[in-house]
Amino acid sequence: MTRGGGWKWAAGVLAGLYAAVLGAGYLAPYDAAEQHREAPLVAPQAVHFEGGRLVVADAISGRKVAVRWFSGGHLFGVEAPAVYFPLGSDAFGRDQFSRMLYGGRISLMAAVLGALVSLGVGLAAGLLSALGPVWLDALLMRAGEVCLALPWLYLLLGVRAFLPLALEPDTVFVLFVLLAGMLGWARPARLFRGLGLSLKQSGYVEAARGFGASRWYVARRHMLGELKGVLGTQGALLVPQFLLAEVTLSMFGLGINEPGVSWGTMLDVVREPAMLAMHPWMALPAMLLAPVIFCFQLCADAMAG
Amino acid sequence: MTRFFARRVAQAMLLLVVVSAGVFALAALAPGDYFAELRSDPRVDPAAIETLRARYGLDRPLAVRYGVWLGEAVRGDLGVSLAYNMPVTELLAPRAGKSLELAATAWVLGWILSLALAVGAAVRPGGWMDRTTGWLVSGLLVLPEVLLAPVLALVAARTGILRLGGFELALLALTPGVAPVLLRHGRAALKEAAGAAYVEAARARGIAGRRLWLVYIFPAAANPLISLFGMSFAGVLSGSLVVEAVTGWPGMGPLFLDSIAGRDFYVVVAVTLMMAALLAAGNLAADAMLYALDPRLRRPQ
Repeated sequence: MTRGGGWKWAAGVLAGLYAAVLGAGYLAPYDAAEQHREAPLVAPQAVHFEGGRLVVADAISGRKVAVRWFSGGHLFGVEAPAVYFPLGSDAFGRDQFSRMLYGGRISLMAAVLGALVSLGVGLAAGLLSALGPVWLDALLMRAGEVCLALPWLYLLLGVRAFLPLALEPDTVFVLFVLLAGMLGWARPARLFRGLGLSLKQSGYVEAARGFGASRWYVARRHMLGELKGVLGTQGALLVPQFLLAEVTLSMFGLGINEPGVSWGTMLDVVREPAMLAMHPWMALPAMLLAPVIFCFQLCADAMAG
Repeated sequence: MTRFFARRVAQAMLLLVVVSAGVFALAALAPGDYFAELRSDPRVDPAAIETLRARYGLDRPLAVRYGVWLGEAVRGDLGVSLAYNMPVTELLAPRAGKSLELAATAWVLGWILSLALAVGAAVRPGGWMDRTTGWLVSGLLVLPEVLLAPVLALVAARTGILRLGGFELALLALTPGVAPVLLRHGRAALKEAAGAAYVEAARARGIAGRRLWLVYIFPAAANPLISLFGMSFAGVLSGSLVVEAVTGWPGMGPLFLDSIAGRDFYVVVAVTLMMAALLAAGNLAADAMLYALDPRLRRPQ
């Protein structure tokens, strides 16, 4: 498949998205936990253009108020006591747009960190397998097969089952990154092992060995460079998987939990389709998944090719 | 032949023992159990809690519990659900049936669809089928169950075209997730086989059409596909959990989530083990097929 420079757009979109969630404090009009109980479950609100200014309806009174830019440390907003929810509000009257930004921070960061952990573990295990003693190779590969043999979601949930249910959101974040990373190491490890084995036979590695270079010198000096492209591709493929894992776990109340916010926690509403049918905008965070995955895929394809 | 399979079966058994031991060991690290909540209730006598824990064997050391459980599991008794107060096997059987019904249908459907499309793509490389399937792979990859299931549930709840909790809805949400991986690999394998030198040679000898595909191309392309057999089913089972929980299909998924939230120890262990057993069985079936199709495996080394 030739897609030309499509990946540049994809990388740009992803960079923009990451910048947006990191800058949530400025871009989001409200704090993720800020409640406006007078205005629960408000549908996304339209913006009107009147007299050279952007005008919106106050979510509580319905009166028209002007959008204020660059005020109060936020990019935009309306003057309190009026409230404005660009993408609607949830059952507690919390701004969905702000929560999507703050939640994306957790979801997207957890995905990247999880991918980094599993790449690191996978690289170490793969190179140990390829260059280390035979028994270690056998042990690592069998362990990897166990991780691969189980459906990942059941595996992740099975491990999650034995951690305390009520955890601080920060603790869950760290645990998720570590757990997901530890469980996802097997596939990259197999790949790196195969590459390591084939590199081991290549002329320049054999020559280096002949000059008396140690295995770890060879791994560091000659193999890592060759593996860089594969590392990038694998990373771009792993991030969306971990993103989905976080969303799925949190959606079922087993990942990030209140008062923390992630795309997964925002989506716990999907477990009640009747509720979702009345307030469909609550599913908006799910809609973000498709473009994010697509962009990561374009980047992975570009790095592979 | 018997040695080949004896080794594979032994490996599968070992896998099940390792998984069950791992799950039990994790339980040892976990704080609290099903009865922990009772402890915060001042009306409940601590001695009564201890009696309850003793009845379900939760007071014994981990190794003993695992030994006892393993002995009973071998005889088909997977323990007792603490929340439902009934044998785990009785609780799981109907739900596992429902899960399998859904997952197997989606899986078979996914295989048929992807193989048909892959053949279409391989017949004329660079043709419109080839290009379409290429886009279809990326298109379907960006529609994970987590996205598709809520959207379909939403459509079902709003329009009533599909029934929530119905088979069609669950199937529709699950099948698209199966296809892309199979389609991508199937397409690559068939294309590679169709472009091989011996296929060219066969064509030169005047072999064409159905005979060329059935005798020369498929057997050569089957190998990498069969190794996808077990893994693709693992993927379907993971997706099935999400789909079941969102669309309301009464399979193992919702029960598993409830048992995790409720600390229903034996149910969690049984479901995890059942998944491992299913996968082990799938891989054994794949091995048997490989053995039947690949003469290299039959040759004594």
